[in-house]
Amino acid sequence: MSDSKERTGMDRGIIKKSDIPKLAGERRFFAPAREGTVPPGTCELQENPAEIAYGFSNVRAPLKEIFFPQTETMYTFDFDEVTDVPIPAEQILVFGCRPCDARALAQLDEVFGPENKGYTDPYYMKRREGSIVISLACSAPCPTCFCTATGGGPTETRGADLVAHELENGQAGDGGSLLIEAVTEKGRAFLESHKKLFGEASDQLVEEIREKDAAAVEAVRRANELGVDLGRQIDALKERMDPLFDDERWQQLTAGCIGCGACTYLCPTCYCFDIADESRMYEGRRIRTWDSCQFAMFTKHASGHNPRTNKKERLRQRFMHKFSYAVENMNEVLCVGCGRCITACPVNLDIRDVIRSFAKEPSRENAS
Amino acid sequence: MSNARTAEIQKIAKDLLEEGKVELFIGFQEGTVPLRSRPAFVQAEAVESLVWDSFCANNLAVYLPKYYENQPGRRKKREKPYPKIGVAAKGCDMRSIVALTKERQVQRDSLLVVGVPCEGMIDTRKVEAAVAAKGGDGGAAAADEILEARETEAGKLEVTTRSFGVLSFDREEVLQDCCLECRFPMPEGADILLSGQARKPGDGGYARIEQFMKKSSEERWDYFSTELSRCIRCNACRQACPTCWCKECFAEQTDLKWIGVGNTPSDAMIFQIIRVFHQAGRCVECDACYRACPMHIDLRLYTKKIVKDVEDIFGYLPAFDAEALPPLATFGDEQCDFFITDPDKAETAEGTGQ
Repeated sequence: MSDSKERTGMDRGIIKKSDIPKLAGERRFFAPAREGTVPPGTCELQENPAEIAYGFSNVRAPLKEIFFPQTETMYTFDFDEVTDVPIPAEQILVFGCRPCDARALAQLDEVFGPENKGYTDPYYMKRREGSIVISLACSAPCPTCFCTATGGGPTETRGADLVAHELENGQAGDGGSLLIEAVTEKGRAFLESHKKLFGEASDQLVEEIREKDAAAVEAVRRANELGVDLGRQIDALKERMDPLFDDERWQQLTAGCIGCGACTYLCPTCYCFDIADESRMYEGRRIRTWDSCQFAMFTKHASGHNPRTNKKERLRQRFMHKFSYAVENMNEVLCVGCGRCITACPVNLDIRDVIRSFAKEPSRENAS
Repeated sequence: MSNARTAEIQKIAKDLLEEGKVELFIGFQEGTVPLRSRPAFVQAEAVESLVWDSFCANNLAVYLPKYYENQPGRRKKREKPYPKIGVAAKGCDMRSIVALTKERQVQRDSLLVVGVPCEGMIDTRKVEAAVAAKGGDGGAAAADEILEARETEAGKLEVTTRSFGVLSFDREEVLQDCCLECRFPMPEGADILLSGQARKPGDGGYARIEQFMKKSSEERWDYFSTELSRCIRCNACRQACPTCWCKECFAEQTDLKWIGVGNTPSDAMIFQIIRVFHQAGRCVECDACYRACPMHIDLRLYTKKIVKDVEDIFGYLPAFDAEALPPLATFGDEQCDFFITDPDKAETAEGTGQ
């Protein structure tokens, strides 16, 4: 284990797969696993898994649940008093999420973090602040991936503190190893504090990895040509969608929707929530839960009036939020191209169809 | 076979639309992911996009009630007559249409049903599981290995995978369980019937329920709890179900509030228990809920149990008879309440007639 002369020793290193759990220390540790998943063969992020899974295309659910639980108790109450439920200041290590999910986390940071006009969500940020995220670069994206069209990529680093690459030339019997590179200062410090577990990575190896990365990016690009590059032009869809708010294609695109929330609940960037009181007899609690713009109740007013009366309007809201309103409010497209909404949809309503449909439209400048 | 069906259904839809017999035809078009065809809503110019293959699993009856809704705030007064709608229907879709007609959710005479003798639909999950199993114990292969799938004339399913090349399956081994068990693959009472054979009717699939009921109540509860622990309350089961047409679901009532909105286990379980109970005498075993569940919860066990109970206790099974009244809509003097007062007797009773 050679201490390197330059700062490269802190920027990257090679670690045995079997040593990954040792990185956790006192932290809550989440990693992809196949044990007990339904159906067998699928992967999900599990806490302290017995065996970390590799070779999956993506985990079933994104990591928003870890930082933004579906149901969270804010405080409890009875007739006499309100008792705050302390926000856990947890130290969390997530290993092995895909780069798209890490990028989604960076987007959630902007929604829940101080960047958002000064409104900071303490529940999310408390968990997020002490966390370390190590993403695992993709080499073989699945057929529903379209990260490159949304400005990301299979080896994208944003949102991760460190990025891991699987190495093929591991020695027989050692279970393989990973190249881990720091992305953020936090990641660099984390690497430094665990340097005993890391070996040195040669420049040549890193170069080989870069070549593989480029091939992976190309593979996604080829597989999903959506006619738009939201990385180069974030508002490319927005400027085409905005004038077509009342276009009849929305009817056609959304006709099959049955109005469930599978897409939003499995989306790594959907963050809408509801706050409700649950009480029984003399006590109760106030909870925050996920909510979905696809539910009729989402916009229903106390008066009984509902501004979004049908599935077309609700689904249009979902896509407009992602590709137009988010661009306006945070200069971001709120979609990372993970494709979960495509595979989870009971009627195969495909977000790529929506993107393609509007991408074909001449842009506003050309049209006028 | 499926090519012939596609051509036939396109022709029928084209004629119906061009002759003005229907304004809209609901069928299937090619999906965007392997093993999936998806609901299509077409007018005359788009009939060429219609397909019929072994991936047309969705129950299309789920889309029908909204066309026959009365205007909110204007009771039972319609400005326009009910629209004429053509719909492709397998046995299960047809059973749903009959059930919805009884519940006044569709107007049967403004609906033109194109019956498709059903050969069974392929179960995406079985194919995924078979592909995943190829990866061995470690499950090195993820289910979304599948790049492409097509049916052959010889009744095989060929699946192109990323790591294992082309795999071939017999249709029979990858059909949905609900199709293998289906007692009514031939849609009776359709207005137009496609040519061709339906598969041989199955036995209803009660054996699995009988097997399950032999377990202790603790084991059954454990299984139910474990399955429902995955529930994310996305409501896909409810929304995919043609029978779940309530304008306001009990789960969304806030005054009184019956259940919480979170994914707390007790809420998820109560939601499912009530949802399934509301299906009594109405569920047509199409497995739409089971297919829709993104968390792959074994919902079909519970719907099948309620179907069996209703058949055992009331001798009623929702099929094609438009006159037969469902148990929740009728009460006969020969119906006693022993299933409440003496459930052991109910377990062994062979139905009580009407």
